Amino acid sequence: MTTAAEPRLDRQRNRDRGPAARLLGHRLLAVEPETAAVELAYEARADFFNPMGVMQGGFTAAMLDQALVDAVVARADMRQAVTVLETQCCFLRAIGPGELRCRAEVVHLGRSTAFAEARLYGPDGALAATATAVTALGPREGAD
Amino acid sequence: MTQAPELTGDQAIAMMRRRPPVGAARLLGSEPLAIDTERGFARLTHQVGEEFCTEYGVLQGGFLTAMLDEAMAIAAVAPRGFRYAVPTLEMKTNYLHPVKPGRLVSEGQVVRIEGRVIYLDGRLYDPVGELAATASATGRFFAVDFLGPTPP
Repeated sequence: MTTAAEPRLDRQRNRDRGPAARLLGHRLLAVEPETAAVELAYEARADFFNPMGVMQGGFTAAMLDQALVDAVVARADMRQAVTVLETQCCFLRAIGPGELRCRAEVVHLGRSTAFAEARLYGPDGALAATATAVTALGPREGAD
Repeated sequence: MTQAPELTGDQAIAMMRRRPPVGAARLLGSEPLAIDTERGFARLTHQVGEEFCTEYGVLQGGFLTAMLDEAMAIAAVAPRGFRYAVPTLEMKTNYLHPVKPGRLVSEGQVVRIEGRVIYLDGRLYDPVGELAATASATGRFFAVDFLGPTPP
């Protein structure tokens, strides 16, 4: 089946996200055709952990942050630059080593502002952290 | 602080320096710069490179949150002799402007302790010393010797 969403997934999959996303083991799994919600995978590694042997909250936040930006960029279909103004994270459960899944989507897309939310699931599949973001949208420099 | 600190700031820094940083703290190049256990305050330095950057060459915001989280956690546990961990329940970060990699300074401050719940705030300064991000957090004390036994 050929739909308009497939090029969008390819565009998002091939987008350069910089070294931070690579460090987190970021992989884009899917972009929902209707909502542009994104499904991602990450790798929770021991060097992201605190002395308690679980993910340091900030690294959990970094994964959620990347997902929130991905969702806004996917929804805006890369036409605009996205600047994160604020994020709020809730840490529900400790996260151990392994593959994590994440889902993020835009809840409101305005002309100059977008609001997004994300959920991060631990290696056992249980919901481990949630986040919301307020982002500013601006002209994208060097847009192709 | 609702109780007298168990360590002075200098003792807290000496305790941290005896144990090389592991995991997230090592990755972020974190080192204690100043700790005031009377006020519940900690100031850390971080040294981070391009591996934490976005495609625009600025630090990905989550890692700024990670530095703030560390400073707030140390502000919380140093007065109690590192015998507690403070898992963050909730944290909010405001990103004031894009930050280039380099040496950053984070600060954490205890705002209030109510039973086992602790309220904190944080500030992060960019490599030229400008305020780049602010944070507030809610945590909960857990009794655990997370730095391990004190060496003789």
